[in-house]
Amino acid sequence: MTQPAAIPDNERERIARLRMLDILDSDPEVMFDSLTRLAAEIFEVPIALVTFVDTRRQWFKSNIGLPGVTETPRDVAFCSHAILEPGVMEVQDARLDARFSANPLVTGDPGIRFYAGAPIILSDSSRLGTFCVIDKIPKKLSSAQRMILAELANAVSHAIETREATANTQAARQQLENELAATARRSHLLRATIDSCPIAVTIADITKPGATVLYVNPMYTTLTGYDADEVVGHDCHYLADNIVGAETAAMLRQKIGSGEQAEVEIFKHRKDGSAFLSRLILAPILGDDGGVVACIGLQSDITLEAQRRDATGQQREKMAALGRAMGGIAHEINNMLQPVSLLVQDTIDNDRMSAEGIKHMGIVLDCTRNARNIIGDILAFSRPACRSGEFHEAAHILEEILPLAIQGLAKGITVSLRIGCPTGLVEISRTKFSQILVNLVSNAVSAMDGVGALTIQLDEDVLPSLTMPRKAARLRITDTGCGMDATTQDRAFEPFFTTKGIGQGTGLGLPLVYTLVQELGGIIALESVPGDGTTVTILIPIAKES
Amino acid sequence: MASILVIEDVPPVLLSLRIILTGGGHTVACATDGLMGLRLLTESAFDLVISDIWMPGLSGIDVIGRGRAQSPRTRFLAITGGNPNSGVTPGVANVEKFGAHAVLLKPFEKHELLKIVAALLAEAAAAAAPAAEAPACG
Repeated sequence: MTQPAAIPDNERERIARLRMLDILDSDPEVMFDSLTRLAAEIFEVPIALVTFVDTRRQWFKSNIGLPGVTETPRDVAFCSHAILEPGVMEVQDARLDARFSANPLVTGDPGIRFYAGAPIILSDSSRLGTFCVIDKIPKKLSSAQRMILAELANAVSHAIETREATANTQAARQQLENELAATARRSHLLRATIDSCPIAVTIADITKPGATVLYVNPMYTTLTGYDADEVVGHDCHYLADNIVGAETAAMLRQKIGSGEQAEVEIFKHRKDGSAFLSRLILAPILGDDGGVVACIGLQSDITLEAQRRDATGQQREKMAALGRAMGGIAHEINNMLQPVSLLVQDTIDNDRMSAEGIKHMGIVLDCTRNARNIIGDILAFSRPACRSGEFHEAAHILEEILPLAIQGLAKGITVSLRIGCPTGLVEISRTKFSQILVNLVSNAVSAMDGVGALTIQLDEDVLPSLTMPRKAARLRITDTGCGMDATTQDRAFEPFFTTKGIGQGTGLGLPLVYTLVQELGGIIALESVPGDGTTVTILIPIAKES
Repeated sequence: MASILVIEDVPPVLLSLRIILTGGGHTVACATDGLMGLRLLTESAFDLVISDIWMPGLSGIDVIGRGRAQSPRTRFLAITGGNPNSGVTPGVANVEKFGAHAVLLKPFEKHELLKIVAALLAEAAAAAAPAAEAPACG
């Protein structure tokens, strides 16, 4: 008969604890093997084992005397019984024990006769397995030997717990090392980012009276000419009264102190004494307690940007003033044209003219209509900006309007249209787009005097901006005409400036295009070489993807 | 034929309008400023008032506003050569009607004027029709 052992009451917790040790199916370890080897010597037995009783098997952590065997089924295992015993379980002759007499380990290989096992009990009382000694002949332990066996089991349970604690410590250390490495990597990346940043970065400790500079990035040196070691550890310039002015410095300190971001434009001097306009953004860094501990300064040189901005502003003001002046002029001229139109027509209608007189009056009426149209053109470019709400695929509207712009072109002029990759939707009315294209094409054609090549090209580009570059449609109109010298280029956007003969143009084409492009938030540029031709490039922001 | 009041500060414009409208068979009264126009409108009834907008003194907008209040059956046509102070081009797309029933942008042509005058007078006649026809039927 083989009697399988009962299942312990706390089996689930016991198995959970065993699995937690992460010891099952692990490699042999010296501390366990030396104890089993010692036991085999002391008890003068061929077999000594450290076993763990798993759900369906007993697995040998240490094994002296059963080479090649790593586990046996739980239902035939002596140890399944031993873990239930309060102390050492001793089977002096298995053939005489009802529980084991028919056990295949007794009747067959390895032919067990003697078994003594002490339970391995952890400090939390879980019984995981045994320390056992086995012989193929019957045996009886002395009480001293039983005590030694119990002590060996004890030593194993200590070893297991020590092993577990070490593993935990190692895991914790490993985790810590990984975290440190990750943090180091992150801060390295952050540092690399700051170092390659095209904005001058300064960090200042504002808990110190003069706000000591803690760090500056390489761009700071490029921008100001001061090396890091000339600045770090010294007082922070941009908070000093004598650099930015007492009022600005106080405003900056107040804003930063209350945890707000501040932005100012200030004139600064480089190490070599040259001045530049700096856009300075200060951002506070808050400490754990919510107080401001440091301040990041971001500076960029906006001298050129400001010059451009001023020039654009001046141009816009000039346009607005001219627009207002033209309103008055238009009002007067429209009034003067009114009786001309009405009375001439009335004279014709009432048959008060000779045939020749009627022909002449027809010319007068035509001139009146032309004058009215010219006034309309003159005023068109001083119209206030308003959003059209019309969206067009740049390529579509170009293909639609181009035939209108090039109708009646001289035979000697070839036109080529090149459309690059799709650009997206621009917000522009058909009328305004026509005004732009017709004017640019008309200028290009006039420059070519009947012979040449007109190229119209549409591509995608980016509207440059320090803060928010936007995708843009780029329209290029190139002619092979007479080109413009520098003086003409400078005056090209000036209202009433014309190179055409008297009566051939109002001099309002390019100023109108300029105003329209400005209204659209775009930019316009001229490139010209006298004798070679001119390219007008306009960038119109893409309002939406198509 | 209809009686029309023209309010216009520029004498040649006023004269040319009077010639055309008189030639069209209408009775035309003239005013060279807004106050004078309103006074004439109080003194006698008009089927149509044609008023310039930008005039010294009372503006055409005020004339039309007050005129319509005191003479609800009268039609009002605004004529303008554009705002002398803003540079905004009057155009088909952005015409304000200045409170009038219709607007013509100067310089307009004779046929445009006669067409719009005829249309406004027809409207005025239609609006007045029930009152005018009642005695005829009775």
